[in-house]
This record gives sequence, C-alpha cells and structure tokens, in this order.
Amino acid sequence: MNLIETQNLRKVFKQGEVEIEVLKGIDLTVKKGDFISLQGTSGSGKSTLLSILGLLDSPTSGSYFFKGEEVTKLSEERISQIRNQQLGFVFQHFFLIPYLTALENVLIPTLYNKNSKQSQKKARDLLALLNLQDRLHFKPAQLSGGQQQRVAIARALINEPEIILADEPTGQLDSRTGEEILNIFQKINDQGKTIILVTHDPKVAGFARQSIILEDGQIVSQKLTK
Amino acid sequence: MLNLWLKKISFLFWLGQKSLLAYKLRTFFVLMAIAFGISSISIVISSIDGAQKKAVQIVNWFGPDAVFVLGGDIYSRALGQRRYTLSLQDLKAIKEHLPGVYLAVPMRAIHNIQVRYKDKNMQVNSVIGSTAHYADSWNWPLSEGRDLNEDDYKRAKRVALIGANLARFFFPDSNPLGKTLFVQNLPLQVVGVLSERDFSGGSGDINKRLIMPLTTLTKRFNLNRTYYRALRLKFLFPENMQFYAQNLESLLRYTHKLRPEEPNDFTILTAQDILKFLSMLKGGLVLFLGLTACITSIIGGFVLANLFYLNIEERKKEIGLKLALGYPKELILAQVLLESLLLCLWGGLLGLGLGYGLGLLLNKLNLIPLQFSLKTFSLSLVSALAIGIGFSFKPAKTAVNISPLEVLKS
Repeated sequence: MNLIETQNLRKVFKQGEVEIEVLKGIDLTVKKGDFISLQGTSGSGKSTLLSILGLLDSPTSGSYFFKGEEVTKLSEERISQIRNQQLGFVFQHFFLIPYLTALENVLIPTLYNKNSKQSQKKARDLLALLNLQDRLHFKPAQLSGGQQQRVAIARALINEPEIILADEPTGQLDSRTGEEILNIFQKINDQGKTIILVTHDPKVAGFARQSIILEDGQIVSQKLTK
Repeated sequence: MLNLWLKKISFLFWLGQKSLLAYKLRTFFVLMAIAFGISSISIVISSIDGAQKKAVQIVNWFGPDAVFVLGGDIYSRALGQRRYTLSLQDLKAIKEHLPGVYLAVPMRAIHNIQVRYKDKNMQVNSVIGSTAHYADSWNWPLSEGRDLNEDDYKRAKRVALIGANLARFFFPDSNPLGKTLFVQNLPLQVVGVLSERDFSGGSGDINKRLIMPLTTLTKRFNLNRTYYRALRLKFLFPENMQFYAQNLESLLRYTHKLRPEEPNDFTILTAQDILKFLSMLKGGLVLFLGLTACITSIIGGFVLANLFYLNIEERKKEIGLKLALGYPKELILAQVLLESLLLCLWGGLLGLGLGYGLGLLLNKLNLIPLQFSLKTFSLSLVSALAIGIGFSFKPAKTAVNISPLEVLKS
C-alpha cells in the first residue's frame, strides 16, 4: 500500500482580490522506505506541498490519501493524532523549546507517556545514537546548530513515525554540519524510514534516492538518483 | 482510566511548572498583581468581619437587658438643645413606677481633668460621677477591689474606681487599692479597678476612666445636683425590652410634661438601637470596601488578561510547535488555564500572607479591627481562582487558535 497518494492536488491562496495558484495539480505517490527530495526555487510550491503532506495545511482541491485514509474527510482530532504518531517533523529553524533540556525536548511528542520508562529509554537511546549522550541536560542555547538539529531529529523519531518530513533541515547549518545531518537522514532511511525532504540545494537533494523538481506549482521532473 | 488521567494531570503540571519557571519575570509580575489584589480583598473581608465581631461585642457589653438614657435628643443636632434634662425626680419615678426595672444608675461627667499620683500626671478624658452598682450596671467586671456602694454615695465619700489604663499608668508595679489619687485637688482613694475593655471610639479611651460617687462629684466640682447627664437602667426580662422601652418613654414624657406634639427631650438607647446603628455603619463599610475590592479585582483582572495575552504572544512559537507535533487543542487550553490557575493559587496564598501581615499591622495601629478566619481564606482564594480562570479564558482560546503553519513559516 502507498503511504501517500495525491491526485490533482491544488492549492490556491487569496490575496485580496487576487488568487495565486501555488500548486497546480500534483500527483504524487510515496511508498514505504522512499527518500524523496522535493526541490525547487523559492515560490515553486515545495514548502506548501510539504505542509499539505504533513497535514498542517489542507488542499484547495484534489485528493490526498494517507495510508488509504482520505485526509480531507478526517476530524481535527484524528489529524492531530496522525501528526503525532505517524509523522515526524524536522524544521529549518529546529524549533526547540528554549527552556527545556535536550532530553525533555525529545520527549515533547510523547505527551502523557513522557515519564514512562520506555519513552525515557528511547529518548536517551536516540540521543546517544545521534552522539548527544553527554548533552542530555543541556538547554538549546547551550548547543551548536548541528546539535540542535540532531535533537530535533531525535524528537521527530521518538514516536517511531512512518514518515519524516524535513523542511530545509540544513538551511541553518554550515556545509560540514549539514552533511552530517544528511548522513543521519540516510542512515534513518536505510533502517526503513520514509523521508521527504524539501530543499532548494541540488547538493542536498543528492542525498535522497528520488528527486522531484517543482516549478511554478507543478512537478517538472521526477527521477531516481540512486 | 484513572492511571491515564493521573498521567495527563502530572504531564500538565510538568508543562505548567516548566514554563512558569522559564518566564520568571512575567511569573513574578503576575504573582505580585494577584497577591496585591487578594491581600486587599482579604483585608476587606476581614475588616468587615472584624466590624461585625466588634458590633456583637459592643452589644454584649451593652447588655440585652439594659437601656441607656441620655438627656437631649442625640439624633437631632439642634443648637442650644438642653442636654441636662434627666432629673432626680425622673430617677425616683423610674424606680417607683416603671415595671421590670431592677437597677437604675444615674451619671454625670466632667471632661479633660488632670489626675495626679505623686509626681505622675495624666489628662483624663472622662471623670464620671455615679451611684452604687456602677460597674454592675455596665456589665463591667472589676479586676480588683469593689464597686461603688450606697454608703459611698450617701456620704459623698472620697473614693474612686479607675480604668485599667489608669491603674497601669499610675501603679505599674504596685496594687492601686487603697492608694490616693488627686483629681485636680480632690484626693480620692482607689477602691476598685475596672477590667480592661478592648474598645476604641466614643469619647476617648474607656480604659482611662475614673468614677467617683455622684455626690462627691457634684459637691466638690460645684455641679447642679438635680440633673444627670444619663441614666443606665437594667431590666428583669430581656425579651420584654421593647415594652420596657415604651413604658420608659411614656413615663419620661409624662415627668417632663411634654405635650403630644413636642419631641422627646431625651434619648433611649437599647441594645437593638446600638445594633441598628452598628449595622448601618457596617453596611456602609461593606458597600464602600466591597466596591473598592470589586474595582481592584476587575482592574487586576484586566492587567492579568493583558499579561496572559502577552504570554501567549511570547510563546506563540512553542504553542504552534506543539500543535504541529499533534498536541490536542484541549491540552493546550488546559495548559494555559492550569498555568493561570497555578499563578492565581500561589498569588492568592502570597496575597493572603501579605493581607494577614498588613492586617496585623493595622490591628496594632488600632485603625480597623480585623478578623481573619477560614472564611477570609476561602473567599479570597476563590476570588483569586475565579479571576484567574475568568480572565485567562480568552487568552487561552487565542492560544488554541494559533495556526501552527503560520508560526512555523515565520
């Protein structure tokens, strides 16, 4: 079964009287284990597409099936549940909560199970896997950009989601650190996680197995890179 | 099920406590705003309660079986009004003809008199002349010695009862009984000391009184001997006070030869009248202080609402992120409400402490009698929580409606 399937997905923003069509009929299929890069210049619609795929926004028309469920028909509660359980987000600006430690930030998506032994162990294991075992109790401000993004990746992985959605995850990092992060994504993908990564940088896109290029709201190229 | 709820609550508390500690300055401001509001509310409640307690105490001292009659109409403030209208004849008529009366004690007073003992001097507000059973008639127990008696009165003896403060001032280390005080140049031997009464108001400190036989006072200070300033009467059955008072009024109108259209030239005060007057005072107090407290709370509430909004604005990113990570909206709502609840609870407790401290100070300064109780405590706390919930609801709703997408884009 496809994890994600969209048919003729359109998104129109209204600015006063003017309508701007940001996505013009996207047909996309994502299978388990895919590592897809969504590439495009600024304004190409890649981030909007990622927001819709991440259930943070809804399409103006077209259909979107997430593991066979028609997303536009789901309740708000169910959408929150999917976002929490089946999607992991990694953002360009990390978005860590400044007053929580690395460990606490990782535990944020576990909600009420934060204190369970299982969650605690998993969070520590993930941070150790990402080489942050000696930074568990550091606040974000005490961590480097790369370390912060690794904490964010651990946070995205804590609930063992089906798909990781990453929006310009290396945008704020120098190239060496960026490469480290992308290697982590590759490792995660090797372990079977599906990843959709948005970037404008062809080098970054090169880390994915499949590259989709968007231009002016349409997919203009879709090819396997590896 | 219970386990899940406990987990949810402990998680909420964890989130709340973390963010309150993270934004220390804001937390401090909110705490102080609530604390000051609550301290004023608690002072208002306890001063109203204090006034009530005082009123009950005053009425108890006054006695439900007693009447105090004053010359002149104290309610009308007519100039040139005669204040010495109660006479020896009135007293006789009361004793002989008024049913139910078992004690009738006349009084007159001179004011601002120098009292001296050895080299100590004191300006005494009221020096009173009375008859036997003075202390008894005022339900005023003696801490030492005896009350005035018939013999003192008949023979115009140079004896005196003194208030507790006089005793403390003149005889700090010795027993006042048998000592001789000088009221101006009149030597008086102390035969009794009145116990202390916690009462402020009226004409000066009532613990600073000196009472001598009425005959001694009129003789030595050259006062008119036929008129009194006031009479204190005690009756047998308190349940009949209304009728006693009516009879007394008729009798005095008769002995004063007042025509039907003429107003009373005397005033009868019963415990009921005192209570009515005190209730009126209390009513004014409740209205004034209550209004002040209400306005304070409302202003405080708006300040809080403003701070809560600011807080939401400041934490937009965090809330948007949580929503993006799949936090249910109810959880965000509950978190914001819980935070304000915690703030109000702590602020409330702080305010109570502050109010209590201020109350002790005010009590010490003898400004307002304050009565702290469980009622003060619970009412103040309930208002704190109500203000907290009431004024944080809107900001909490705003938080829930934050769009995670907008926040993440920004």
